[in-house]
Amino acid sequence: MPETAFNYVYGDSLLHRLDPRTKLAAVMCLSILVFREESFAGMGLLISFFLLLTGISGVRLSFLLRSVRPLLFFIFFIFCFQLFSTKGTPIIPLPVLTPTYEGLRLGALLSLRFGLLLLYAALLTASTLPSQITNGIERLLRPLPLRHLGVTSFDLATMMSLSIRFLPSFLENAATIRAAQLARGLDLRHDLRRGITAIAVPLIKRSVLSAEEVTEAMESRCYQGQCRTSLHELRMQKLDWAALLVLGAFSLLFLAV
Amino acid sequence: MIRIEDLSYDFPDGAQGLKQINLKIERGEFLGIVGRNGSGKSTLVRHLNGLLKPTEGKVSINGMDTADPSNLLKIRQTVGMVFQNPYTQFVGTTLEEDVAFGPENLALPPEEIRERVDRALEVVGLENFKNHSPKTLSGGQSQCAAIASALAMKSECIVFDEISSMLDSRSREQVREIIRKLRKKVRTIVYVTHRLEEVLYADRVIIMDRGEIVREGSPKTVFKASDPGKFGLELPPVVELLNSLEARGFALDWARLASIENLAEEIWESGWKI
Ligand SMILES: Nc1ncnc2c1ncn2[C@@H]1O[C@H](COP(=O)(O)OP(=O)(O)OP(=O)(O)O)[C@@H](O)[C@H]1O
Ligand SMILES: [Mg+2]
Repeated sequence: MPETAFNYVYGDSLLHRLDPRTKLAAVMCLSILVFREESFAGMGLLISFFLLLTGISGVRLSFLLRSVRPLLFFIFFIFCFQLFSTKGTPIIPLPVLTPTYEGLRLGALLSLRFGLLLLYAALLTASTLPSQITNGIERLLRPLPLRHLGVTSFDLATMMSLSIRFLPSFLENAATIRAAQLARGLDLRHDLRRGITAIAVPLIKRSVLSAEEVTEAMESRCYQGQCRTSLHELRMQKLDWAALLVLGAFSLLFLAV
Repeated sequence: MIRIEDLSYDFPDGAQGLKQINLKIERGEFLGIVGRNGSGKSTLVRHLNGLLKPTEGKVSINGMDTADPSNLLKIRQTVGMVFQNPYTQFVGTTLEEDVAFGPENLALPPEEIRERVDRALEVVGLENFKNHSPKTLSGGQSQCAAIASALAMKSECIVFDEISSMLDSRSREQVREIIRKLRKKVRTIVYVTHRLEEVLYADRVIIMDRGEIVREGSPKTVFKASDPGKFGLELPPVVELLNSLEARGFALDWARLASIENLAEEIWESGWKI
């Protein structure tokens, strides 16, 4: 179920209470570490750190693992690709596709890397409300001179939160229209191109119409993309600076060893 | 507070939306606007907060011309609007964020936003649903959320455009109850609907047809003298009853009798001398 992937889990843990900016910075920093890591020992350490954070957050590990499940196939594909395409000592001598020890190592490393990135991201979304993530990104972008590009950080944040809000309805609409067209005898197997048009056209039409209504509702409530405040105004606490300090120390140590 | 003079509106495709509308709305008034589908009700009320600009004529809100873009922000703070579709006007990811959206746009301090959100949610009775996502709210609850969102703007006037037409009968009753409650607070209300029974207690009612105002007056005169049937409107049973009672010489106070309970009581007390 895509509904359970990357969802927020209510809680009041240390991790939940951190400022979203702290958590965004942490995820970025940890992602870099994960990407640079070439050894299994280092990977083990990063996995342990992830498990530690998960423990602190109180989010069930199985919930986070479920977020990765939709991409499992992709990870498996990466693994197989590396396993068979890397040159080296064969594990079993097969004629065309030869699995090698080097491939096994590289494949495992890449899959772990990819999986771990997703897990850290899942931990972020599980411990942070979507609106808080958007808020955090907005505050991080605010100093940038985006005005020259014709948008404000507030616009970007609003766009993000609207996407989060309306993506499920969009998918739902797509499913409804698909079902309706199938009921009318649309044959997706024989004429895929016509089938896609038959679904896309009403879907776009419907989405544009709702988008207009959304715009009217927003304008009626004085939205103008200018400076706005937030119900949950962000404030960095001592806790946040402490967390960043710990993270910095961990990263430096990690890179030094 | 609202003044519409010789307003005509043509859609971008050339179709004529409104013809020569003249209308004044007083502070504190409850104005009902009725008319069949496509009669131009929504087109008219979209002029009240500058979503549409007159092709001809003038609309002014507390003296501010809606055609002047520099007035728009102030105008939208003065006239709030609630629409028909509960889903497309829910822009937050949770209920409280949605209600906060307007006050956030006004760049109010967080404490004040908090207070406005809490107050508004209390009025519509959703204070226990603050953290609910739109997925977990019913259509009726979402529509109450939309009302709360408009209340949180603390505007002088609120326009309701067919807010109950997409709801089932139970949530419709719930929404009507809230509107009745709002009416007691001093606010100007413009209430658009095609159900006459929802505007029986209005101070004034107008009937629209083909982009024009065809009838105007108190609910009593409009629904008795004229013939709403001619404009594709259905007289609710209550009104037919009221009309036939009056025809038999009963003096009735429509504003009070619009509620079925009051009417029953009145008939009961009159001792069946009908
Ligand atoms: N963007 C548009 N372009 C052209 N014609 C339009 C447009 N929007 C609405 N109309 C037409 O203008 C007329 C008035 O529409 P309006 O939405 O104001 O009616 P309404 O009284 O609100 O009806 P309803 O009860 O369906 O909400 C309708 O005949 C409609 O088809
Ligand atoms: Mg309408």
